[in-house]
Amino acid sequence: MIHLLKIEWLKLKKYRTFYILSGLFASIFVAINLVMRTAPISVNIGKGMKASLLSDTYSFSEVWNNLGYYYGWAIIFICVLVIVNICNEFSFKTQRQHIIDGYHRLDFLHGKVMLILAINIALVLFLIIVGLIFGYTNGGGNPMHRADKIFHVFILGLNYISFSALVALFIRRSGLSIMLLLAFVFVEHIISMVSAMKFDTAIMAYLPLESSDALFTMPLNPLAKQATDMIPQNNLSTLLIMSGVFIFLYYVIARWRMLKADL
Amino acid sequence: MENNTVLSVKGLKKNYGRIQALQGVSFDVPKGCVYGILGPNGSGKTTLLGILLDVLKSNGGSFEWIDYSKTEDARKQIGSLLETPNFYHYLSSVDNLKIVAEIKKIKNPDIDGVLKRVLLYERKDSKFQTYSLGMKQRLAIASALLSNPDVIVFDEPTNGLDPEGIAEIRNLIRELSQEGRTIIMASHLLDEVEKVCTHVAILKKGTLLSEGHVNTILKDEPSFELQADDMSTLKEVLEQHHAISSVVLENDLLIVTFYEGMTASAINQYCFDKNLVLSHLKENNFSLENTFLDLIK
Repeated sequence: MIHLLKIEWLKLKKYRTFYILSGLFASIFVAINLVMRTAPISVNIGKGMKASLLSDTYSFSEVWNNLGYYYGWAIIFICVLVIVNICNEFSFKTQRQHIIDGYHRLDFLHGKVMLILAINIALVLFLIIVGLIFGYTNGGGNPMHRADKIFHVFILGLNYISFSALVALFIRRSGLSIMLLLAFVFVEHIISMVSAMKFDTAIMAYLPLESSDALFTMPLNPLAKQATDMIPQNNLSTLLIMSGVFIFLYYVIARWRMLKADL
Repeated sequence: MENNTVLSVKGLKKNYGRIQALQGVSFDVPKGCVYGILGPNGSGKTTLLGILLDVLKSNGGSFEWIDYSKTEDARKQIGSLLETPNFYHYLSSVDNLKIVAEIKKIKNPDIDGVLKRVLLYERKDSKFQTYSLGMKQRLAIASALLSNPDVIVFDEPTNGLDPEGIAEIRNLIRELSQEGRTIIMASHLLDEVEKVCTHVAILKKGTLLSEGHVNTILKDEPSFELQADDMSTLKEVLEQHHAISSVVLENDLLIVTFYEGMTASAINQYCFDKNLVLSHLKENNFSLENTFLDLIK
């Protein structure tokens, strides 16, 4: 498996788009959090007083949930990177050439699985570093408190990137795959919101990407959180189990595709 | 199974929807030969090689690379060029070949050596996207040679090359064959197969028409154009010849072929002995092409 990852690295290390999209992810992720840390988004609570809607606590332990929430948006850049990476294999016909050169059909898939895992681990490490910097520069506290959110970040990243890889594996064209991904994310959000608001039902656990999105709550202050508590929520265990089921399904479908399809 | 067989194909079938691209193709490839798979465009040559290299799934039949129990092990050892050269456009030839070497698990790949052999060494650090079609084809051949393979599969190896490049690649194939390697080569060019191959399989619309040594399949019998003042007598006289194969009147010329080797001077002497003076006598070199065209009609 490490051998497959080495081959993936040989393909990526001189690919400029890899560095551009990674840089975009890192800078936008940090920028979002820097802005939100001080964003004056508030509501009038009467008598000339205002209450900030967004949590301004980037100290431990809230920092892990806050970062995770915005990570769910910034991850789209990494999804685009993975889509471009896989679609390149089809447009250059290198996936076909790899088989001709001696790959087992599953070697190609497992190479991409290893790449996704490696990227995901790197992203989690990056988030930990950003979280520690934010946490210690905004009041400190115990960094291990609510650190389970770091594992949730790993699951969310794995879910989004694996789903993007599956789309790319079927569509084989970068532009169309990216549009489909964005449309899917948008439609899922709409379905999730409408079901929660209108039908008082939390169905997000049963939607592929929302099942991981819902692991994080919107970074709101305690007052605003009370309002959102009225919205139906799934418990964390259900969300984690469903995220895991969906990630496993992506792999099974991709495996079936690789073993059966003409390349 | 003969010990000197490298590949055995049995009843391979492939459908694309209702179209039958291969209809039960069977043949064996002997060790050390240059085996040509000859056929017009759309005859199933690339489909056949695609199945042998596991990028296409067959709908029936089987094949076996005799020296290997797993097809991926065979593919690692075999050098292959299927259809177009497939490389990462943003990488140099050296970086692309490093990836191939990793996939094939070659410990000390002689990347410079293979690039020199296909005359690409001077451009080894240029990106693939800056190469001409001919250079891309050469890089694909270099990639096929990287594992120092005993068996090489080429699909239309001279595609996109200029006449000089075509001659170089044909010479390279001959050299590789002389080194004892087995070469399986698909081509729609009869001339190419005739010049390079020792064995040939002729495909038409997915069906194997004929297969065997190139000299037995594509008989190199010359034909002759003859003309005399009395064409009907000339035709009668020629039809009486003991070795005559065919006599056909085309554009006021008799096109004649013989079962046995025959020379122009012998024909001239034969006609003269029969009191016929020829006004035109020419040996044609297109009989191979005629044989091929007859086969795929």
